[in-house]
Amino acid sequence: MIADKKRQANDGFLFRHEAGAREMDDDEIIGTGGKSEDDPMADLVKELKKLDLQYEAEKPNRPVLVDRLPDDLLVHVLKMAGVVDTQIIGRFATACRRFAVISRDARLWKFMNSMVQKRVSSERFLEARNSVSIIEDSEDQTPSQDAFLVNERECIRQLYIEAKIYGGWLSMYMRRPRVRFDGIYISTCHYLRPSSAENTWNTPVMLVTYYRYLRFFRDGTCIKFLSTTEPAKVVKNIFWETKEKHVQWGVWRLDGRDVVAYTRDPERGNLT
Amino acid sequence: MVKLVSAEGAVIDVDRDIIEQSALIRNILQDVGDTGDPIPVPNVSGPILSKVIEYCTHHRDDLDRRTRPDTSLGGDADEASIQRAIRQMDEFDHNFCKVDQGTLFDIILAANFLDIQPLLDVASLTVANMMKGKSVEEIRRTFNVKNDFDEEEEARVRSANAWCEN
Repeated sequence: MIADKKRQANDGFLFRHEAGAREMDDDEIIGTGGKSEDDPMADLVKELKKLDLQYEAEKPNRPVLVDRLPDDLLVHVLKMAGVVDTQIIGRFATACRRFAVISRDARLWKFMNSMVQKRVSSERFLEARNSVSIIEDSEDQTPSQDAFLVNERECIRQLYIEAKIYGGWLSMYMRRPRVRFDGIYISTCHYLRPSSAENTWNTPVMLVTYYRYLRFFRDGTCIKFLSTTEPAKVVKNIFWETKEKHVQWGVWRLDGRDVVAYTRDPERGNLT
Repeated sequence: MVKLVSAEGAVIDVDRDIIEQSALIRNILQDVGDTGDPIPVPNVSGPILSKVIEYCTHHRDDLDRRTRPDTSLGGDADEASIQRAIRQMDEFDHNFCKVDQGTLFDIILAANFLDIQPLLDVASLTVANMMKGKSVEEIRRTFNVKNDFDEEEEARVRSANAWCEN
């Protein structure tokens, strides 16, 4: 054991991320990227994989430094990029052939699926859930659906099952309905309200615009905020901790392609 | 004190608690015991090794960064550490990664080899941020890679990645 570690240290070829690839043998069962009907470049990637892809320099007098990084480490970089903004992955993939192949690595898309999976674990969720529990119980909902998401092992098992159904991690990411946690859903509503007129010949009408803000969190909680304040002012200030009037807290779940959210106004106590 | 030998053969002394942020060195020290013998780090150059030690010295009391995510359940090992990196990346980390591309990539390689997850994560995050908001052409320029697709391939790749835009 000791000798082995020393040897690895001396060889200098121990890439942890290579070792990681072996642990995930089960990825191979369902192939790497997505199915070709989901990913128009799936066949192209398959072809490119057979080639020994080397980077070509755009400016030949300067070195291609990225060549120093093994593909496994670029996959790690892309995982970061995926959390920052998926746009980066798409543009990275379009830069050159080798980048395109790296962008279809199954480990990247497994990670991306895992990141958008609901993980019910915090006390916050239980608290929010209890506050809206009356309606949940009466509506014959299955609380077990959330109960199993508390268990990490179950979460992971679920991911694998779904990946098999979708036929690959990328296909799953593209087709599986998911809620985004990296922003706020805003619905703009208008309604007309008659206002009082001074004479009877014309009746002025008021156009009222209000916004419904919904923010979902990965732990199964959500907040809802109804306001006439414009998005620019609201978006930066809407957190779980926001203690504004008319902010409602609650829980959400995915029902097929629909999101069902239960929230409660702490002051009025009604449920929506 | 632990002695490390860089690629050039230079010996660098470093406090044990600092360099134990490297899981590789920590394991060696645990298995072999601290014999005082220099530990060779053959594929990390002296300057990069100094940079790595600078990072580890700054974060020597940062115990939170050292706890490894539990991977025994078969989950994605990176998930917790990546989220942590994005949350915890501080001013020191930003400035630490403000180096030329070659150095940054060497730091990533060294962090991977020495198995210092937080350093690997902040350096990788820096590379990811180098691409943030950039067009495809700008990304090519950033890494000095040439567009080696033929026209038909490029059209396919573009359409295959269009969904990433939103």
